[in-house]
Amino acid sequence: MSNIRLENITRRFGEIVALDDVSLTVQDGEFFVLLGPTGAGKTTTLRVIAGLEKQNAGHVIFDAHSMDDAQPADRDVAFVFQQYSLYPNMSVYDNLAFPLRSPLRKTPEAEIKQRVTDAAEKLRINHLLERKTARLSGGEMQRVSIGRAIVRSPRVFLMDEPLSNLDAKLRESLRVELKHIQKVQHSTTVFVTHDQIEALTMADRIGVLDRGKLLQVGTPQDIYDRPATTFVAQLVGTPRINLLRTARNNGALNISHSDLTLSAGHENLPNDLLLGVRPEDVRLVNDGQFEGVITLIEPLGVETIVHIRNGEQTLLSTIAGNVQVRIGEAVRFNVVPDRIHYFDIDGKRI
Amino acid sequence: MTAATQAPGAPGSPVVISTRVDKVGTRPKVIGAIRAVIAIIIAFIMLIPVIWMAMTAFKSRPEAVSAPPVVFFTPTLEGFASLLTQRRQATTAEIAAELERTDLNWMEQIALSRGQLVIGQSAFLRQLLNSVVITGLSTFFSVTFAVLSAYAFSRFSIPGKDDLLFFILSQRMLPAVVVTIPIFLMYRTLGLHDTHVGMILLYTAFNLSFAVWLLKGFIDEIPREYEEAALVDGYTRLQAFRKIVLPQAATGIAATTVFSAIFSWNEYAFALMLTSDLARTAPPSIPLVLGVGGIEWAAIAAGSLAFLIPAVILTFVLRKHLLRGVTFGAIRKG
Amino acid sequence: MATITLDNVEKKFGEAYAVKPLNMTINSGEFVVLLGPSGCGKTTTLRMISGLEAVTAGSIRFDDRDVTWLHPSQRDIAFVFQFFALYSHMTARQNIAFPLQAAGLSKTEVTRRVDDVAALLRIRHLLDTRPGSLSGGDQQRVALARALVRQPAAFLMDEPLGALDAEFRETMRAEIKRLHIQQNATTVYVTHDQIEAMAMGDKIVIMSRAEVQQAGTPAEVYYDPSNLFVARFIGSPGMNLIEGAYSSGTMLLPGGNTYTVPDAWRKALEMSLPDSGKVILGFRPEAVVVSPEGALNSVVYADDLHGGYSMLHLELPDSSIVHARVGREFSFPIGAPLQFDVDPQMVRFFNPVTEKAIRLNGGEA
Ligand SMILES: Nc1ncnc2c1ncn2[C@@H]1O[C@H](COP(=O)(O)OP(=O)(O)OP(=O)(O)O)[C@@H](O)[C@H]1O
Ligand SMILES: Nc1ncnc2c1ncn2[C@@H]1O[C@H](COP(=O)(O)OP(=O)(O)OP(=O)(O)O)[C@@H](O)[C@H]1O
Ligand SMILES: [Mg+2]
Ligand SMILES: [Mg+2]
Repeated sequence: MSNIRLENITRRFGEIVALDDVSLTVQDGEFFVLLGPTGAGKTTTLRVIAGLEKQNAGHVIFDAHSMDDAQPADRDVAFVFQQYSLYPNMSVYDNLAFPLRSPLRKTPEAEIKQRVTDAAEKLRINHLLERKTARLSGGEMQRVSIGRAIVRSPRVFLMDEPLSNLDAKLRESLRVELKHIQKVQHSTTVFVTHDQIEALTMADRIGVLDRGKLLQVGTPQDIYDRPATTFVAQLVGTPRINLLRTARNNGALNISHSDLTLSAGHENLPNDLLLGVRPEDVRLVNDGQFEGVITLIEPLGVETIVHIRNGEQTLLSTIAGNVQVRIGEAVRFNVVPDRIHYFDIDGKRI
Repeated sequence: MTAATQAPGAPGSPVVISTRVDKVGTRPKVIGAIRAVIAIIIAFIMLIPVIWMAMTAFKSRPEAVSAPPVVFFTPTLEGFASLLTQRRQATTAEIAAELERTDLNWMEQIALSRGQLVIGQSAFLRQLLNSVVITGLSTFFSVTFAVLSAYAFSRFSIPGKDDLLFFILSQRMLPAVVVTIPIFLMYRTLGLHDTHVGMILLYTAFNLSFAVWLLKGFIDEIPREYEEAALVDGYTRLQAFRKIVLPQAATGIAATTVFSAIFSWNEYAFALMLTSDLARTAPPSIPLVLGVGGIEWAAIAAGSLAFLIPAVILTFVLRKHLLRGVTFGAIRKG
Repeated sequence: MATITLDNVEKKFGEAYAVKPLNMTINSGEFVVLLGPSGCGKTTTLRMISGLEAVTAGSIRFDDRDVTWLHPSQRDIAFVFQFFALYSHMTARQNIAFPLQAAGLSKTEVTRRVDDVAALLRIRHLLDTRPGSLSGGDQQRVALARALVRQPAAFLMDEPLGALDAEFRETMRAEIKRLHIQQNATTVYVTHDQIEAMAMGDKIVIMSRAEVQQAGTPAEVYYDPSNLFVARFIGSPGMNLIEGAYSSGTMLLPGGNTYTVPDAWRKALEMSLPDSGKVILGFRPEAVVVSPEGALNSVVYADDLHGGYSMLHLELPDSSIVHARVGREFSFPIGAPLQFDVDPQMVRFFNPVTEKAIRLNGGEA
């Protein structure tokens, strides 16, 4: 296992700047998740690390050795693609053995057998070894792809949305398995996804990418509790964070188009700002400071999303699933003061 | 609830797995049978000329030309005998002498029964062999070169790629007859006239443009991720190409092979102009199987039949890949 | 608005059932969600209601009108497809007006109705735009407007949000529900996303393998699933299910854990279980109470933050996994031993043979 450093990586495709001066370090044994919307440059980053794509500027460094001129085969990385990467004309066993049989490694067959069986056991696919890969279900295929990465203990695992084509239920269980395996093997992993739940639940650290720029790097807690921009704040958390345009007047914060007023927590807030309040921090209480009317209820089982209207503002609040509320009901609520996020009008965290 | 009963289209599969394949349920057997019958009837109608030709090949001379045509007859190998031999009319003395012999082969016997003597082999077998050699080698070369260049066109960014591809296709735009004369003159000067090498070269060049386009389409369909996975797994590009791309492109290669082979096998215009004797292939010669005294229809039919067989064998050998090729559009991605 | 009644409606393709005989009433003004995994017959059911697919047996009534053999156009319904078929050569206004023009309404009436529905969906400023230059969400709104403008007897929607990305789905989900509350139109909505179903439905009809597994309010299907399928399918993750053997007040779980069955349940279990006492214990992740005195032993398999809360994955001695929803301040190292209890209000029991839920009165669901 190795650590990876990207230094000022830029990658252009004609006019498009897919990666714009991206620098980041992934520690030895870390599970690093790159999170971002479509076209953010996540896949490009992985491909640059793997050497499948050459950067226009910057350096890729593994353990203090520059990899800029190394071929993909020499970098000793394992890549799990979103789809396709199983060879359909080979059995599961041969697929798993394929990386070990490469001329670089020339592993003896006995050892191959050992390693393949081990990996298959870890991923619970030992009963499938003889099967042709075309006859596997989606979940099984993805397990085999992951298996092909873990058989050879590479320096780094690179995974490009390996779960995104799967059924919701399957995704939940593979997420847990993958995280468990990573923790047990202590492998350095860079995992790409656009699913915030995957990022939050699996990562040691998350890097948020948008349009080729790295916006924030931090632990899931950092990203969730201290988002650097409104973009990051909206990207993580369901339902999405409430963002409220607010004006500051003599130490009070007036949320526009409503009669919600808070006392300004900070001294140095600008006059025009955005407040971010996570739905779970809007608490319905009988003696709450604010009032509003419930306009919509979305019961999700364990919790219920309540849309509360005050003036022209609608706030979302999540409450426990067993609390009864009605549409049209007038309610009082509080906002947890020390969990309010302040952003300037351009979306930067204050 | 009766959990044991099976859902249509998804027998016994765990319910949480969502795939959109298998949208169609099992068809009733009756419909299947009806379809088969219809298919057989259509196939029969389409095959009537071929069947007729096969029948003619086994007819005797008078039967072959009789009007109205005979459908039921005793098969004879007369046609094949005339196809494979050169004969002349025998004198009565010669016939008597022949009748004494006990070591006559079947062709000599047939000739004898018609009062003829076999005086040597005909050129047909050699021409058929020429066809096989020229078709085989030219197909091999054009498919090999085409796979390599199609792969390059599909995977690498080559300067002027689109122009090059168009240029390659444009090779195919001139009708063969237009270029036969210049090529004839060129070949005569270069000493390639009536040589195997010349024909192989020509057919290879001719098939190549079409083969590159066809194969590029197939290779484009193979996701890059397959090779890239092999690259990061520690294989060189050439190894990845051999181990991953080639097996996956089998369908396309088979289809291209058959198309190229059939072109070379059937080619008439160039063969007529550019070969005369040594390298002459079968197509221009079959209609010229002249018998002694009139056109030997049975012999021509026998020649055509023999000519058909290699094509059938090739298609049969590659049928598994071809069928996949034909239904290529229906293959699910991902 | 109509009440839709399905009476023993079934659909066979060849020999195979796409929908087994089905009885269902969709009350006037109700928002009913058909939920189930792929291929369970949701779309087929919806298409039979719309008349796009003929039933192979049974009858369909809209109020008192038997529509079983009526042509779709005579049923007065609006169908919203997964991929909104907007006409790209028409402006949004022309697209929305299209169904009205087909009905031969006067020009002023058409304009009025289009303006009304555009106001409702907040797309008035987009009316002169072509679909090509609209964002995905706005295209969706235009398509919805085209369905709404007709004021039909019922709306049928087949995964209308399926093609949208997560962000839009959340917004549009609320928007469609809000529209429903304002208009109170009878709506049948198909989805395979259980969150969407829970959030939107007045009533959820859960289908699997061509038949209805349970029909009920979101709370009913969440708290009182009628069988194992529903218990697993609803909730993310679904209900924790552990098979064990019941005898005199306790349940012996595989791997040596012993679970004390709440008093309220003992009688029910004793009445309904066979002699072997085999029973499945079910509880939702939020019913897990982690405490040092907890009766059930486990080790931490994985632990993940979901934003506002954490999900613990606990490995039981028989290496099955139990999910536990805990406050985000909790964090445990992998492999750490952990004891927990289950909130007695939240436990449910299932018969492993019939797979049905056992009710408190000893009956089966
Ligand atoms: N080979 C290429 N040629 C041209 N443009 C490319 C190429 N590969 C990527 N791009 C562009 O670079 C940008 C980043 O692409 P990338 O595939 O890295 O995004 P992503 O974050 O992986 O998105 P997604 O979530 O959709 O997979 C996009 O605008 C994309 O169009
Ligand atoms: N035209 C058809 N011919 C044969 N079988 C069909 C046809 N249409 C549907 N089926 C079968 O009927 C069953 C139910 O299909 P249906 O489309 O209703 O599923 P669904 O619940 O809508 O699934 P999804 O979530 O994938 O859309 C499936 O097994 C399907 O294969
Ligand atoms: Mg990508
Ligand atoms: Mg459907």
